[in-house]
Amino acid sequence: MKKMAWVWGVLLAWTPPVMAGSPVGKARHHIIGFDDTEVEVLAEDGGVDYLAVEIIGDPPLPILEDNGRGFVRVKARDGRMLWLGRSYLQTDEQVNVPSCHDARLAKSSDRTMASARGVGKSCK
Amino acid sequence: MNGNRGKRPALRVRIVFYILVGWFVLQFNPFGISNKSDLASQDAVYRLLAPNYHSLARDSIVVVLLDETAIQDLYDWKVFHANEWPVRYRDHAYLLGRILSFEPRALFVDVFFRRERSTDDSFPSLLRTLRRGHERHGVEVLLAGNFPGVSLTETQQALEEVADLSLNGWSGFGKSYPLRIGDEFSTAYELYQRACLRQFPLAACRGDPLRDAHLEDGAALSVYWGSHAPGPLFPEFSRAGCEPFAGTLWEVLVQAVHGLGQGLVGGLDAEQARVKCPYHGVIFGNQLVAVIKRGTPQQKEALREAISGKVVLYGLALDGLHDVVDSPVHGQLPGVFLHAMALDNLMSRGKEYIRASDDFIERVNLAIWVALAAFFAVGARWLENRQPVSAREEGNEGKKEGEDNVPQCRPSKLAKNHPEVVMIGLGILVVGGISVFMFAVMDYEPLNSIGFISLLGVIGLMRDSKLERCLLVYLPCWLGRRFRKNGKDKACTDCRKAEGGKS
Repeated sequence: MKKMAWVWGVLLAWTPPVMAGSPVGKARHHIIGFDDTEVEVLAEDGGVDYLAVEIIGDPPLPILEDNGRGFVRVKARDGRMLWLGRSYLQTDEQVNVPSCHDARLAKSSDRTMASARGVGKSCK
Repeated sequence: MNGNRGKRPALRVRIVFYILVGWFVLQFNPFGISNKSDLASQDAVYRLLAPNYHSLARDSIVVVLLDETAIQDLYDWKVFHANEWPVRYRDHAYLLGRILSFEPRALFVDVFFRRERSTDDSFPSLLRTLRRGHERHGVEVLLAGNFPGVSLTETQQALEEVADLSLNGWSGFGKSYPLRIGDEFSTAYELYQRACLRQFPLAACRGDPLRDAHLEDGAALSVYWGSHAPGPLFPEFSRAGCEPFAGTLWEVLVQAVHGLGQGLVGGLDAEQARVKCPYHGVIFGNQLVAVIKRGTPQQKEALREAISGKVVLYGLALDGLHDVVDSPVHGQLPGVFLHAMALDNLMSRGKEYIRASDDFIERVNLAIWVALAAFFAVGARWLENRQPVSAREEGNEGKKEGEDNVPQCRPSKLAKNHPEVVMIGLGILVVGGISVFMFAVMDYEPLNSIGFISLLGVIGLMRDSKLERCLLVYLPCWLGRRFRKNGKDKACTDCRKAEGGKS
């Protein structure tokens, strides 16, 4: 038992420097699933394309980078680096549970709002 | 009122006068009185009947709703790119793609896409999702079109290649829901076609099928709102809901008081009696995504069951969009629920849907008023002139002993002195009976009962009043004197007598 604990200790101490040398080592989160059979991919020209998930690879896939604009970088099965649309990805990031809704959607008949959404009262 | 009647108009003159009063109000709708009373009558009846509306279709229709909270959550989870309305086309595309993957029977998108926004380059994503939904999942998608006769923009033409556009704007139908305008069909009927007229109709489709050929131009449905809201699909994500309607005597009584009394008793707390939850199940956008991404197997199965094979309506509940409808039962609801309720009515009644007022009903209304006016005038005169048998036989000779003091028919003082009150009461019963017949047997929207009863009240007040004498006795006399050469003829003599008092 003591011997096993010693082996694990050595392994844990040795792992971080090794992992740090690869892109996988930077990953703090992973893609654990996909919402669809195809996901959004950022094309080289800046447009959006769709790619079959089989081409991307099997989860879990480490998330290498986040561009902050809805796309994350992963290394595909064939070694290509891809920017995938976050919407279609299921990740192991901490997510809040959905905010609760009031099922009482009906409002009083005389409820009034005399403004259009997105337009303020001031014209300036 | 009956104390000093003076000269009274002839019965037939009265009948014609009463008919003309009603005809004027019903036909010319002065100050919108007729329309207002018509709407008030319908609202009262529908509020009263709402607890009786049960349909299998309720569980075959589901509304996926985007509201403030849902948009904010989806943005926080980095699913939506936009955190505020209008969300991006790709955001719609993502959510619609998720709905389509469950293979609903049909999907209606209650968002009006008129022109591609110059600030959003993701429109192709939406087109792609809709095309894919049809090709891969075989789901027919319906989009909010426009008013009838409005030409399509380039954007709408592009959308029409991947989905169908349905009529979702109209005017001149009041609270009714048109099914066909010209050659175009409205959203609810288009959805009904997909749910009930295809090769395998949904089990919730009842009644004889309603086909295109049954619908004339301008055919409209009178929407019958239900009040039994289903429980929330995901109670764990709901803050507050509605108590299910158990149909107890108290609940029925509250509904009845709400239905009938709201108009009559201004002080009644309508807010308390209002049903707060819509008739159809709702899944909010953030709930849908949360379950897809992180739901338990049970939640995922519940979601699949709620959408798969059902008719899904995707809509919005955001302030400032003016996409709200007035329900007599609920108050204000997001506009998408009007389509859902109209579809529910069609699915549960088919060809026997409740028809909105049309030309035929306009003529029937007039005929009803002619009959009511004649009934009122003749009945009131008859009650007034009726004498107890003992009084009629007074002075008769050869009476048998013991019969003198026992009248065989003694009209009550009320009938004798206020016959118009009795006739108004009887008129209300007649109007109620006709209204029930029209609604339950002929499948027409509730009659303008309040209008008819108000008209009966008006002629009841006018009967034997100075105004009636002025209009029906003095005015003809005055006109006669003006236009007759011989001012001393019999009519003028009568007229002078009438003016004088009075003689």
